[in-house]
Amino acid sequence: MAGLLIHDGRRVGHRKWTVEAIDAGLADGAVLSPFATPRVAEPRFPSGAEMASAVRGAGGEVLFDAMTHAVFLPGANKLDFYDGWELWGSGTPDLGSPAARLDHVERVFSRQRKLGTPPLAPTVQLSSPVDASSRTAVELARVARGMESGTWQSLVGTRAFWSSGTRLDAFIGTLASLRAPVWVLTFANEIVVDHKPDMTDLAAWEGFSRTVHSLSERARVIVAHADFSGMPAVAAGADTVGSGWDRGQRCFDPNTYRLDSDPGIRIPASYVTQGGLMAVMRRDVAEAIERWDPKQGYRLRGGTMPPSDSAQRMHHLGRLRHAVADVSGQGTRRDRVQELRDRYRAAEADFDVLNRALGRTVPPSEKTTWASQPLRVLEAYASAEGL
Amino acid sequence: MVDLRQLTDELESALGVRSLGVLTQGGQKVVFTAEMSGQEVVVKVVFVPQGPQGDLVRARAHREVELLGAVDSPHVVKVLTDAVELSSPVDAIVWVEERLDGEDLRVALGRAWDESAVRSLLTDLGKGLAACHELEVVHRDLSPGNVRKTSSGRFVLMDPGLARHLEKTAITGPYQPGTDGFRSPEHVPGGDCVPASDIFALGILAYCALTCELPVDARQPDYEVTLASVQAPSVRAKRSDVSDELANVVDRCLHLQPARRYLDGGELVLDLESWS
Repeated sequence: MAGLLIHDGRRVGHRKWTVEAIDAGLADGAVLSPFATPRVAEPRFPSGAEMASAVRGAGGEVLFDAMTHAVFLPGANKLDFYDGWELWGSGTPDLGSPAARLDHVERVFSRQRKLGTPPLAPTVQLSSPVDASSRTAVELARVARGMESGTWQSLVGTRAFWSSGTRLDAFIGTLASLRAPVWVLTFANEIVVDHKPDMTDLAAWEGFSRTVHSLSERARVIVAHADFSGMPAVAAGADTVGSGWDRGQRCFDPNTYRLDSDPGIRIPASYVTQGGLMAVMRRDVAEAIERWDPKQGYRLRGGTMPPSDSAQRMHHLGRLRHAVADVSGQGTRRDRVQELRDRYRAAEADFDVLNRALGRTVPPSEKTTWASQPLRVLEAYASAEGL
Repeated sequence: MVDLRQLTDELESALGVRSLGVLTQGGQKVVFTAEMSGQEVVVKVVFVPQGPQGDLVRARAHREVELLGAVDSPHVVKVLTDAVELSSPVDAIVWVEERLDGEDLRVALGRAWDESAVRSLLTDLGKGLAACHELEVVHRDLSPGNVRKTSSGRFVLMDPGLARHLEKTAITGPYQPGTDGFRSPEHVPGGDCVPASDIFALGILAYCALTCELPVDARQPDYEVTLASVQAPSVRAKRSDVSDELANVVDRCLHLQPARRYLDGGELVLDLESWS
């Protein structure tokens, strides 16, 4: 199993689009979330069981991530669907005692069994590998393994966690000894300002890739909420990335779990994925590229111009999945790294050409965000590993 | 000062041992040779301090002796009795282990070993560790003084962290057991020893056996910092004649990141057997 999983979302067409993407070979399954899918169907929102059945019916893999790490985030209050899953005995999230942890894991596994999804242990978000939360994470993981020996495990960390060097490595050693067959890793953002990946923290992203490398030596690794920012992790050994159509699917955004204080009317900008650049740019930029050189535009996009946002959703998944397959399909880690390195270098060269041809329409900052920073992450990882 | 005669009388009565003779004595511990049911045995005595620290020592002793008693491997010294508490002439925890012939590795590591001997060391101790790790027992002090080579050539793990751990706990409270030079990167203050920590220590023994040197010099002032943050050198740098297979095994044991080592004895043995 490898490729792309679609994270849960609240768009009305979510189930239909997910099934279409799997049917079309553009995605490999879905990750359900108690924040986005209700346990009991609501108007316009299918139940978890209906969603799982639809995805499975299309031949897709289904996971149910309890998202325990999200419910403990400050201000997490988007609980209308979440509460219906009854994941806490007392009704209130609490992991403060062995009995509370056992009860929560038991409830999560029970829901997963009913949905027919693999046992995926809940976890908490970590900012340090040596604090009380990290001990809670280990205890949760041990309880989960004690209940289901083949349980899949989750690990969620902030930049501070992933950049904690040898202390991170020692912590990963403790987790690796649990011998989970599958790891679901999340690079948690504390603030998300736009749809572009922020890979400026070299130490954190290198630590994330290093961890993927370590865990993937014995297990399958899925990088959740990753989109194109998960590509260095794929080079390091992950085989699947989590993505979708909205920001809250493509990256871990704490706002996804908060009620919007002023929902208002928001029309998201229209975007087009440039597969050759491993970038997502505004539609007006994509059209400028098309006008400048249709042949180059076709090559950079990796296909025809998606005529609608609906087509763009599928185009994006297709281009991302293609990139994941190209890199993960290489025989060795060295080859995976080289494949991705070549892609980033080619993207850098293409961004330079676009900047010269189109000026401020494609500013140098786009090259930095989508190609140069990820390449720096890849090179930092590769250099540390001697690849 | 402990009255040894009174102590031996108590030991004979409590454990059913005879012919007690002092083997080693120091700090908070005395080790006797003895006979039990016709076989030669070792009796270990750890003195228990007064107060809450004593309760900690007692609880740990019962737990660890019970765990070790459950380990069944020709490559781990056998614990023959439960932990028994003495209240006179001193408060102490005592138990009996099998007595092995042969010598520990303190002298043997002064000369370079050939490849087949190192492989035997890795295989035997890997099997011993596998038996411990299967029960989630981490040795924590795999050092030359705690490995015995019997007259038949079998390597056996001794004193799996237990006696020394208890002794030190009695003096200093909770601490990281281990022997300088033979610690793993997790054997530092605040660290959490896992089965892969024992694998690192076994890698040190193999490295020493091949090179007569420690991979990380314990005499340097920043030993613990270096241990926890710097990758140990490849054994190839000192012994270019060693086969790729053996060098890879030793280097993997010594990987700085525990997740990149063999995770436990079982995984190590599996790999060793795959290239036999």
